[in-house]
Amino acid sequence: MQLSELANNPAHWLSGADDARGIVVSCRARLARNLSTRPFARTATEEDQEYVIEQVLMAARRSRHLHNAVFLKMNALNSDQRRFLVERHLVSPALAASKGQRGVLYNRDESLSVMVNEEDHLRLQAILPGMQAREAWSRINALDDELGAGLDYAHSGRWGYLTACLTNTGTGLRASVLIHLPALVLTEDMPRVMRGLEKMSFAVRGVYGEGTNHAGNLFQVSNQATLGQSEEEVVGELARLTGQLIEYEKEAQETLMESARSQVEDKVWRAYGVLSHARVLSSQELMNLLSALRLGYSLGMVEDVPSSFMNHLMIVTQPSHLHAEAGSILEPEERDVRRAAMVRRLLGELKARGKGG
Amino acid sequence: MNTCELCHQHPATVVSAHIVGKEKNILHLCSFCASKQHGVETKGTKVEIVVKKGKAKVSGEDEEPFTARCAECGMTYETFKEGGRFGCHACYAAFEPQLDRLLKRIHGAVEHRGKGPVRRRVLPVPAEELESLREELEAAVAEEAFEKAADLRDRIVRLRGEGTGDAAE
Repeated sequence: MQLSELANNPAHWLSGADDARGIVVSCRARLARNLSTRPFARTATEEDQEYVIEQVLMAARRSRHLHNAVFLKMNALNSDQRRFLVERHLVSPALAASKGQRGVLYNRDESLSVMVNEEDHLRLQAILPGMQAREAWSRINALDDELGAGLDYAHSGRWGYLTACLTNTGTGLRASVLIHLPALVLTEDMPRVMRGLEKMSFAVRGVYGEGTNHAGNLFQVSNQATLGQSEEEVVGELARLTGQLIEYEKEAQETLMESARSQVEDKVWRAYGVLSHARVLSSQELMNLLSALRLGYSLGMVEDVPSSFMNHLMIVTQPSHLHAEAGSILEPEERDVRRAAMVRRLLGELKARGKGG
Repeated sequence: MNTCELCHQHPATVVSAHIVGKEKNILHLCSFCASKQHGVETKGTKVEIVVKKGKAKVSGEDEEPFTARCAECGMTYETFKEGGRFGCHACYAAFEPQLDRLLKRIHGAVEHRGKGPVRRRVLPVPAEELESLREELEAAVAEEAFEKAADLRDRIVRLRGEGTGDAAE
């Protein structure tokens, strides 16, 4: 099974490259596309859905970007395996929950993926580490052109790409960054920042998209409008806003250090201590501790725990990843024990590597 | 053909009607001045109409309920409103009269400005249909029925945009 292979291999987007000292975890660009020859995926029959899968796989095999890609069919996976893919950001919770002929296609480093028959026939995604919104767009644009050469996309000169939901009509582009803003949360500036972003037509959500909370002070900022602006304008605006958010966060970090240096240091090092020695860790507690440790990394206090390590930890300590590691489904209490053990083990390995040079 | 009432240089290809209440301010403009005045891009030498409404005009709220069904997938407008998802790409054309309003509310814009597919499916627009719309448009302009004319103009632009207007390759 390909899933176990994934479990121990960190995806490229977790590498911590170009992340403004841990502030911008990753960025993502996704495109919604449909074939004009079949009803949209929700109304389509299973035969229609199979036809779409066939067409997409055929186009993918001919593409430079995805000819070696793995295709996983949702109905061949149990609910825990699907959840595993959600935890890796390869499929949406909606795709994982739905019945019928659906699946996901992804490349080796998980930077490119295509969900087939979510609410649109195709949802193309590029996800990269750090502040690379423009790069993510250019990668997904190239893949879109490659696949589009072989597929009959539903498109109109006036409305652009025709999608199942009007919120995606036009470019079908959702560009987003995953950004860590602990100081802005601590200084209680976040509501003001969020209002500002919303005024610019950018939405702020939790890590796993709509309806999820801001666990670990992580925010996903994405464009709302898909009509009236070109893709380059949207991505440029996102890049600009991201730059601004980094500046605000750094200012808030300075304010915190000036007014409460000892308290901030204490928070960071306590988090490090708990992560190194705890025997029971809920996922919520882990997210909060990792946020404190990441703040320490941003401030240059903690040098020996890189952001790539924290990013990886954030993924592999989630329920279905813990199940994959254990080889069985666990009760929540057992998971909390296993989670703590995994964090201790990985931190121990990291320190050993550090000492070894 | 008359010359532009603003620059008196280029032929007037645009009729600009600024309507406030019952007041109509009509200007015959060339495409350059029209674009400067209204930010409207016009093409070709066909007569184009720009209608600007002032604040005094109140849009009619007492419209008939919109009941339409997509001929291709069978979805009704009612079902769409409940679920928020279209059934197929043809729903866009079927529910077209409602789209500007909905898209404007969601995106603050109604027109696509991004990329198009590498390989585009070209839907031929029957030439007679375009021709008869053009005739209606000219008649409407002659009668100074500018709102009707603007609607007709939009339909022509739409048809051209969908079909032969910007077909690739």
